[in-house]
Amino acid sequence: MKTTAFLLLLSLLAGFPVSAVEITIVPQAPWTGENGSWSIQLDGSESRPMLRILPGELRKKSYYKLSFDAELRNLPLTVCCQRKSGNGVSAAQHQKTLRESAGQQRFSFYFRTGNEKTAVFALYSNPGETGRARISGIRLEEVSELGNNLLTEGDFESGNVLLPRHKKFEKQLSIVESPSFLSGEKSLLLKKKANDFAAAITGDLPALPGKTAVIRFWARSETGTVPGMLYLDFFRNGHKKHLYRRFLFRAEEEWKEFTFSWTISSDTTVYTALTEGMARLQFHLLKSAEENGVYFDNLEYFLE
Amino acid sequence: MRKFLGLLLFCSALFLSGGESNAIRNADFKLGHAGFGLWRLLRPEVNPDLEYIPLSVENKKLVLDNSRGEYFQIRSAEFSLPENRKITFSTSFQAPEGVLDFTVLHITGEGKWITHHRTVPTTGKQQKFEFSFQTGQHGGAYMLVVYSSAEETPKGIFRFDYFRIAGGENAPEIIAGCFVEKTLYLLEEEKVAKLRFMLSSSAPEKRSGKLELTVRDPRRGALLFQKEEDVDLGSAPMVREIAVPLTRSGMFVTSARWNGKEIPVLNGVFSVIRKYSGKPFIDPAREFAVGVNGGLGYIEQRGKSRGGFEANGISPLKKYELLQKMGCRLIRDWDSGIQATDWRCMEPENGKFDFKNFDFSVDTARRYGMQILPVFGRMYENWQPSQREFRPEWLREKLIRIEKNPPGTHPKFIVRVPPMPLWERYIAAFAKHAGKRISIYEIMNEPDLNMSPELYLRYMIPAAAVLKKHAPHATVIGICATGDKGNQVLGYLQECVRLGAAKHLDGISFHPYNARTLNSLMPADRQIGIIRNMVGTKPLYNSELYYLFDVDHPSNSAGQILPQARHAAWRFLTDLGEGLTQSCAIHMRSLWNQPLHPTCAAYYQTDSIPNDVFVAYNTLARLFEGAKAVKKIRLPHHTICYVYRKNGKPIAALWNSAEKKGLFADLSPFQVTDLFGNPEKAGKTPLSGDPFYLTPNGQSEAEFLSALENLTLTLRQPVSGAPLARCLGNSFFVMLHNESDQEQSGVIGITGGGWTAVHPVRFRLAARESRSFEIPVRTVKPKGTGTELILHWNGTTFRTPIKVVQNKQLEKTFQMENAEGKLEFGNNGITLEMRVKDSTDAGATGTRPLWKTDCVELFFDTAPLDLPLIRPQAYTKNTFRLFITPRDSVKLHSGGPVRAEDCRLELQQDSTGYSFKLTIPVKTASRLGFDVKIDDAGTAFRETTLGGGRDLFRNRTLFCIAGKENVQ
Repeated sequence: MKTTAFLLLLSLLAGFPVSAVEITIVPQAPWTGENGSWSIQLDGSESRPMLRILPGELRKKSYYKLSFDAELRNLPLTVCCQRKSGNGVSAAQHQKTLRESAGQQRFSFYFRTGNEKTAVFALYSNPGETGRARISGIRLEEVSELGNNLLTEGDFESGNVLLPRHKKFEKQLSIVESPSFLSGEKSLLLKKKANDFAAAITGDLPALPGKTAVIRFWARSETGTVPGMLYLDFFRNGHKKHLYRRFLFRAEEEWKEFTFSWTISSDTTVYTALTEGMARLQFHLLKSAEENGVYFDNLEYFLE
Repeated sequence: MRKFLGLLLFCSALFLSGGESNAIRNADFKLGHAGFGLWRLLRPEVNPDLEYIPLSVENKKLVLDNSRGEYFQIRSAEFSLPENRKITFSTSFQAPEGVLDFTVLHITGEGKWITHHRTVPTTGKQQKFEFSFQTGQHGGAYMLVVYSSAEETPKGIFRFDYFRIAGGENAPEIIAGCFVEKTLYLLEEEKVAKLRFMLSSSAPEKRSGKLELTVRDPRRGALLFQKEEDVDLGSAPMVREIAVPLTRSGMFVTSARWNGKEIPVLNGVFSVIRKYSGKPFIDPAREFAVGVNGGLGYIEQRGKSRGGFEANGISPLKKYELLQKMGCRLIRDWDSGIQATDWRCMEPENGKFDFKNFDFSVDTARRYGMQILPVFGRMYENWQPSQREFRPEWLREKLIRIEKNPPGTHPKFIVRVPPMPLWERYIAAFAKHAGKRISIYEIMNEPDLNMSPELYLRYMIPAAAVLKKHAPHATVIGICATGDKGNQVLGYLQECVRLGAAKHLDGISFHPYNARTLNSLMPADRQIGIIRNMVGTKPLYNSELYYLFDVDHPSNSAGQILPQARHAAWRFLTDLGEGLTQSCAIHMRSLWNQPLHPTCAAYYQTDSIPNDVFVAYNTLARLFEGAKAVKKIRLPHHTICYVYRKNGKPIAALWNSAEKKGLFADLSPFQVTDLFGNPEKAGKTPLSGDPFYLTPNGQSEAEFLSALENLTLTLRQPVSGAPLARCLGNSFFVMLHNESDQEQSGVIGITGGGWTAVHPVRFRLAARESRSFEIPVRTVKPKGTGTELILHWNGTTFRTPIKVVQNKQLEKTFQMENAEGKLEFGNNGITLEMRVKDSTDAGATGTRPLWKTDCVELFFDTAPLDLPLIRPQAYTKNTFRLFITPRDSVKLHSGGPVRAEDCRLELQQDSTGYSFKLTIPVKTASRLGFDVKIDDAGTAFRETTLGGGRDLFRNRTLFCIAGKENVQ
């Protein structure tokens, strides 16, 4: 059933140079839609119903940001971008949401087009899941300016940019009342268990060879000093040589701001994954004997 | 089997105790009378020595010996009750025949008394009693008060088996009591403080744990005693006799932790001072000394009220003994029961004088090395039922009613003045009888609240003449204008001086409630300077300042009556440093600690345990009595240093009046003591609001002064925010000040008080630069914390509590209830056009102040976002006022740096009012602070303001803000 078409006319959002793209939403049962809001409830069946997002013509080799508000109850969604060329369908890019959102949260996902002019975006859940989701405020924008903060939900006030690195960390990551940060009411808390590490990861972020990636964030520990490691990770499936860069940080009981930058290698022959133009950030709390936690706030990532 | 027996024992204990919770601490008196205090009225007719018999515990019963039939109140330690809960009070007791009253009391944050009360007839036999009540919306600290409302308080012995408050929270399972042998020690004469520490558990089974006991000065953080012990606690309390070595002066509090958690310790508070050895006689009219307001607290019995001397845990005579040890030499006889000058007591029948009350008051003070400062005359009628008439009944019909209160006085006051011959006779009788026992008199208290300057002088001049005639040795002070209740001191004082008051007085007294500290909106030293300019060399006396520090809510007198040591030191040192002849600021009730009920401490004085203010005054008396001011040195970062000379030797007081955090001073050239007189290790020392006292370390006086003037100060936090933010729409404007010689950068944010920054804001400031920053904010659910400016600099976070002033944003045109206007500004100056509806012509201003006639008061601030680190509300060089008086021939007047003659005014009047166009040649930036107050002195005086309220004349941050859209 083909239903509502949305015309998004916002050309500039909060000073962020983006161009809104006209999209059509096509829900596949049991997705239902009403007044710009789309819901699904799954009972564990083996189907994979999709909420398809069909844009008009896209620009080649460009970054696009798909964002939406989601209320997720035990239902992680996969966000997929399937590029289409004249000959057929090229490789898909997949990213995931949280299983459980803290109320309604905004999520943003970056995708990059290749030489194709069209792509299909879709939200779906893997077969066998039991849960429900409600999606609204779906927006697709071209992102041409990469020098502004690309982690737009990095203040954790109305959204989230960090997912558990592994399923085992799912319950160790939560948005909580901020312990007196300089702004806002909420921060992200990553807890670590005794004698273990813990890690959270962003979705894909634009990363261009030769550009300098700047990462800025605030952190404070629950108690004492907690050593952590930030990974700027260029891993992509299907590529041999794995490029990443590590930065050590120490969270203390007072909020501290950390800024790291690194000029991304231009050597795309060795690091072939760089040609995909994407990276992810991983925040690790290093293994230690004590149970502890670190609050994160105001995460920023941009390219210079 | 063992578990079963344990359970059985537990159930039995629950059964025996009724299985109920009990919020009252030490309710079964296992810890003696710890947690209970006794306030009495001692009746001199049955108790001439004013003996105070405290509570005791015999055979596990709380015993009150009231064999003299004196009125009493037993008061419990505070306990907590939840809101919306049914609470049951119960007790078992034996009391003499009569009645007994039980009140469970809560005082709200706004000072409202919530009482749950029952009266019980007492039979002389064993009785049980209980009653229930609902807490309603009032959760929090409660206390139990037991007394007798009988006209004649029953004589005999009262015995209480227990008190129980069930239905609320339970008192903690483990509590401690600590009995101190004395509440005041002299460091030079006593080596140890003897403490009896008791620990008790209400659990039916044995409790084992680690006890950590400490005795420390909570203000200075100094530790006097510490002990750890593993304890097995059974049904009987654990008792330890402890000798705490006395090594320093200060106020000390006993605290305890049980298995790492803080537990309540009932009592256990004492102070240590150093020996005061002042001269046997000093003349407080001429020599600077420690003085307080107050008295013996004699309450006259009248109607159903009880009479007697107030005894707050000790006899009033014992209290005077403590004051003597503190070093007090002057008691201004005010606000403490019947005054020595009480006309009603002194002349009960026309022409017949009785000096019994006067003699007891004056002679008791003298016995303890102190002198009374009597205050003559109160010309207004009682305006609260609780107030006692102070003039005799026979005089009432002769009093002359002053029909119209002068402008600026409180409308509540009904002023009746006595016939002059009777007034003169009363004062003459007093002065003749007092003789040389009194060397200083004050004529009237705060007459500016109820009398015009003319009326005051009409009574002051004859009174001064009578005193000069009959007590020529004595100093007569007066005017006594107050800054309390919204008054401003200076206007009244100036008018009295203009009318010639000063030539009849030996000194001018004032009550600087509107200029309490060096950081007040009207700084204390500036006010003194202005007064000095008015009165020349006439000696000045600060004769009352109960509230020593500024608070956000000036009406919160309860909170302000509880100053800290530094507040007392500030005012004493400022008054001495500014050359006042005497400072007798606080009321003596601010000298006592109330450990039983800290929440109600401002309302209930159950104990008289010397507090840190007491210790601070002891130090001031020892070090500064009779000293003279030598020099005032202003150092960076609002650090003040006054230098004095005592007995030919210099001594300095140094403190940071802005109470800046992270400020250090190199005090190594000096000998240093803290404000309690403890030697400090000189070196790079944190400098706060707590004064240090410095003396030369081998230097000459000139070298000492030079070292003070060149004192090195370093700052841990080079960038600070002003303690006030202006809120305009969805933005806060804060001002940051870089006080260092280097460029500084960092990040700022806002949190608390129902606000949060939308995102942190980065700043960069050149060396010594001050700049305002806009922080986008949004409202959030308040969490009970105040608003803070968070400043992150060099890896450290600093938090500054800020006051948020929400300002009205002004459009190009504006409307008022009785006016409309248009404001434009830019490079060519400010242009204001207004039309005012005022059809009643109040005539020319004449001798009236401008604001008491038909007038438009205009308030301008060309740099409204400039917010200095201290007193950001105060007018700056960019703030000016203009007054337009349409009915005068000269219609434009200036108040500030912009001169009226430089401005251009075109004004037209008609039958409905007047309109004008005003051009002001001043440069403005993109924002302009602006406000208007229209005074309409027609048939009824009316004031209307554009946005800022009644404090516009002294608070520029209340002005509206006009923005860029008003730029021409």
